[in-house]
Amino acid sequence: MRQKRASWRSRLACAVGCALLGLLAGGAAAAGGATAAGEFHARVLPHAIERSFQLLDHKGRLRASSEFKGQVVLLFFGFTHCPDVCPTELARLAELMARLEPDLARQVQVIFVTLDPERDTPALLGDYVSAFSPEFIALRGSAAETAEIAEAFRVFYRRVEGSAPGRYTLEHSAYIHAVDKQGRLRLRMPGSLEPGEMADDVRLLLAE
Amino acid sequence: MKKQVMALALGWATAFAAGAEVTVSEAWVRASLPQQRATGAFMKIRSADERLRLVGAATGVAEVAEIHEMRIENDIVRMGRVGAVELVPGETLELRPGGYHVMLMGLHEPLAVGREVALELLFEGADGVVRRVPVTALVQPLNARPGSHHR
Repeated sequence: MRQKRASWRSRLACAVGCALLGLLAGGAAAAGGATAAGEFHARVLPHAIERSFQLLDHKGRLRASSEFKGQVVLLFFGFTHCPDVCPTELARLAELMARLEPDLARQVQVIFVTLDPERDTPALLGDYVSAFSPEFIALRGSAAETAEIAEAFRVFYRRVEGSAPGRYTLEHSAYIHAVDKQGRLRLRMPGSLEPGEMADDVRLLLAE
Repeated sequence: MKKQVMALALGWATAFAAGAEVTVSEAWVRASLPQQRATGAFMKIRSADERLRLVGAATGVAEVAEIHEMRIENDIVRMGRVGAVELVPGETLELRPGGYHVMLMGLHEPLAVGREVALELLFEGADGVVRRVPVTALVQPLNARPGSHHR
């Protein structure tokens, strides 16, 4: 009995210690889901909330968030006339996928959501994402549907008029959004993360 | 393969300035797809001993070439035209993804990988005179990552 109690005490001490260590390691990151926040390289959202969507892909097929349950989904919102950040982010996502073990990569879907349906036709989107990976999907909605999915993922975007009509650019959020196997938005990956770090985070989400 | 390497070396080495005072190197343009009417050009620019301002660009492959700046503020990608970029003598100004670029808008046709694109950079000297410096930029794949060819 005595020994049992001691063992219980030491377990309690360990639990408290571990929790403290976890807090220290977690730093300012907010807790999210079952995994200790500190283990993720990306920013962990304080609330893991399901985000549903339903849009046409570049092949004209209707894609719903429900079909990706059981997979980790990585979404990036951008536009193909973006000279700089969008191709860089898609190239980083392709590198991340190449780093994952093939059996894990099969459980991950990368989705590019256009914020510029006016210029990004399905054909252009198909060619665009295929230049990075044949496995990537592009989604395109009407102006209203685009605003809706952007709102669901808390993505900011704003049209900046250029020197002539049709030459506008867009300002937009720079994150890659990671959705877990239950369809819940969990992580925001900033451009400063290396593809290897993003792959680590994806492995953690897949292991849940 | 050898031919490819030669073409690459040519494309990257022929990005030079007409005058002796400005050197432009490693100029490249991101490839574009049919219907994609904008892309960016990137390069390194160095002025040996004169204080210059990069005030514009010109090209025959697009309706418009402008100097743009991309920056990330509070996790939002902001983009826009800049009036001029100062060149500090002896220092290299890098136009690279995540910073400045020559924005090419209204492309007349898709830019295929391996093609050489003729550009002109417009520099204004302290005397207020604008000089045009020709640059040859090699088209790199759409999925080219900045600096990835060095890794």
